[in-house]
Amino acid sequence: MHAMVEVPAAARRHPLLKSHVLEAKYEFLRMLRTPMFALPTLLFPVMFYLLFGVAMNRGDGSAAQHMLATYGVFGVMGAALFGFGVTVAMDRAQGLLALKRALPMPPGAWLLAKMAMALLFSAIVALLLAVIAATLAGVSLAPGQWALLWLVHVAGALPFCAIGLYIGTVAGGSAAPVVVNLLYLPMSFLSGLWLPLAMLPDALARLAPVWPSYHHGQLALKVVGMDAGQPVALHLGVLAVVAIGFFVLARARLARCG
Amino acid sequence: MNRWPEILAAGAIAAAIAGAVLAQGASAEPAVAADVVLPSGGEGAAFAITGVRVFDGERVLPAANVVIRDGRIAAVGADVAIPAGIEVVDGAGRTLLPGFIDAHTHSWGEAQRDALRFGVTAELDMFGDWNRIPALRAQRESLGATGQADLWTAGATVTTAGGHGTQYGFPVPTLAADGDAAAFVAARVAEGSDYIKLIVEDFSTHSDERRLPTITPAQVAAAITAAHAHERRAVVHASSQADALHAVESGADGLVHVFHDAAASPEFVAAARSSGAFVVPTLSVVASFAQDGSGSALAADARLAPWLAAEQRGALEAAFPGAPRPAAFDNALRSVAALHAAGVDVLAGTDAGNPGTTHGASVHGELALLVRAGLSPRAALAAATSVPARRFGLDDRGRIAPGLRADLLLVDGDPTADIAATRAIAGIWKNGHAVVRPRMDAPAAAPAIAAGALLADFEDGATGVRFGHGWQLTTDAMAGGTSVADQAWAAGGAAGSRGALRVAGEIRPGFAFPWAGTMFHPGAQPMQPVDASARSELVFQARGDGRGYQVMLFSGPSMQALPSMQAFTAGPEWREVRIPLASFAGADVATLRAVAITAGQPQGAFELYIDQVELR
Repeated sequence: MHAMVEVPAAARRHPLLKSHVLEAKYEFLRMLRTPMFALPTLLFPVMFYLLFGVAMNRGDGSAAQHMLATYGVFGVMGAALFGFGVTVAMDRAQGLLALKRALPMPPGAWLLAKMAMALLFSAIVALLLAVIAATLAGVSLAPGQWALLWLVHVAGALPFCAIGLYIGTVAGGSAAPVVVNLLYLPMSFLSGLWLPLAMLPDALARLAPVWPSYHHGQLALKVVGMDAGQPVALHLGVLAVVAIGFFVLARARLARCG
Repeated sequence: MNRWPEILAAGAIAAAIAGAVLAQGASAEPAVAADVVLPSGGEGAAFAITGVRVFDGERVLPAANVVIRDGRIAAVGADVAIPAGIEVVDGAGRTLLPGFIDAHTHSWGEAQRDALRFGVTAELDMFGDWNRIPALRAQRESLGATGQADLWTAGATVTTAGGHGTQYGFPVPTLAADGDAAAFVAARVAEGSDYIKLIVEDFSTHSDERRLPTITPAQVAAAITAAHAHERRAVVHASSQADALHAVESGADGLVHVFHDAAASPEFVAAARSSGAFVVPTLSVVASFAQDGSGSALAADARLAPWLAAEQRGALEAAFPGAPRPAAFDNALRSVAALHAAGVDVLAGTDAGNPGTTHGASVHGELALLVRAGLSPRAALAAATSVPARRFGLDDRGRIAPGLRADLLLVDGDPTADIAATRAIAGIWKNGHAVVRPRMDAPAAAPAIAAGALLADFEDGATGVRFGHGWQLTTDAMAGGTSVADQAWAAGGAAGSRGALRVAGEIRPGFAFPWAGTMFHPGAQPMQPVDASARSELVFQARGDGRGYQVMLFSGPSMQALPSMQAFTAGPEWREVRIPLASFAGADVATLRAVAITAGQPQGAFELYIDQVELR
């Protein structure tokens, strides 16, 4: 008897939270059931790491450690850019966004849901890479380092969520995947996520700080003691400005064009 | 519609990105400059050397990571991960070695400091002051930062009254001809000797005439037995094969020289092999008997020279008195080849403290000599690392392995292929602490000579100089001669000038190479070196009695070094004398100490005027 009274009471006390959680859950399930998104997002970084960090690496622990940091950034960046950019564009194209706005749900819930989804995918990618690094690639870090690296990877998804959101508001549903790929792959390469910057032409290496992914990568490398030695505040500052800046741009765009 | 938020956001993104690119340029510079200072892995600190070839004392790892923490080696291996937040030294193209152990030295004064500056992190003293043993123990047990190599010592040696080891001017305990060797050894153990060194040396291999008393064969056997009873190693100085054979057959743990009166006989090799004795050939000092110039060559090696103190350079260039004995060196090389081939442990030791050798630098020469004797570079490196550590029970050194003391030497190149690569030192760590290597070459310390070529023109009615300490009389009286000289300003100089310096005196008998004259010291103090390398020529006006005179140039690291000389003649008319500084053979104008203008043979009076002296 008690339970029947208590459950609705609890639901009444947190209707806002519940609708957020439900929205996030369905967004996550939707993405998980979209192989076009889930498979590349989860498998690409893992495949890359298995190939370059484990199979071709011949037991160089320091290289495996470097790649763990940078491929983790590559992975979460993909989850955030595709999760936001492509889905927002498609939602807009199909009128789903307009429908959601008409529904009696909290105004920012869809946005937070997508963000939660992106962070959750990022968390999974980062965790998968960490497990492979520890078991197959011979990377050994202090417990605090593992935790901090994971946190940096996951939290670092936020600026890319903002960039993805902006792309989603600008590009059409069919153009968005192309736009995201055109940004995602060169940006990964030019930020030194696939190869150390020292192996790039000097001009490109010097321009690497243009890309937010470079700053995210440097933060991750700093955790494992392999960064270029610039201050944390610089990287955090750039990432914060990029996150807030693109969010502001996207909001203005949505307000104007829906 | 208000688009300001968008413009502001876009502007902020652009500004942040531009700032990040600019900040990169600014921070790139200090990162490069910081490379010069080596990181420390001493107490509470850690660093790593990555991708470095490692000679671990026995084996070679082609590309490994080495982590140093709290003064010890924390990890070594190809797959060792580099912990976050620690400094990293790029080991590409370099080789990491255990700090060298010199297994035969006589370490006084600055020896331990000189040794460490060349990557020798431990020395085994074979005769020294026993009063310092407690301090040496504390020093080598510490993991603290230090500028000195650790030292083990035999303390006083087992020698007899008037025997070898008693001739250095301070009292040492001696074993009487009929004395009790066991009691004598017990006294050395009580003093704290780390091992017992016996001296069996009657000088017969060094000289046809001179003989020294030495301990008897019975005392040798008794001393070795006593040393073992006290759980000390017994090592023996023997310079003849017969004495060495007796020592080995009496159970000596090792010979601290290879004998040099003959090449090792098959009988000796077999005895050494079956007894398990080791040999410290000390080829460096035997090469010095041969006066083959290997010490001087070492001093001239550009990879070592800048870090040699003046005394070290002098010691390397010094020779043993007497005629060269190339046969001794030849015998020693052949013995080492035979002993090594038979599997007898060979240890690198220099006998530093003797003419032709010095602490630190000579180990690099000894390694090359061991290779010349037939050891592979790898075996030679083992002879200076793991082998002495094993044979002398230095458990925490001589190898690069987890848990061992971080006494390390990083060199450019691959000494396992080219042994001389050990001289290209890129870094030294003692107890994990980076060793600071100040350059010791005098030119860096010498003040440059003051501007202006003119040294003195004697125009002011006195004998003053434009720079330096001034003109000073010099005669052979300082060497026991009786020549005399006087100097004063004199009116009427060259080309009608106001005055000149008159030097006159008499060359008298009483010394083989008499001289008398005047001497100019360019430094503020007499014989203080100054860097005159910007000058190329000594030019002055001279007038005299028609005799021949000499210009002597004093230079180099040592005040006692012989001067380099050039001759000129001074006739009745003023004449310009020009002598290129380069023509003073063997002189080093970067450490110019003095210029003397003197009369020499034949005996008799002399009178010389000089004017308008310039160092152009």
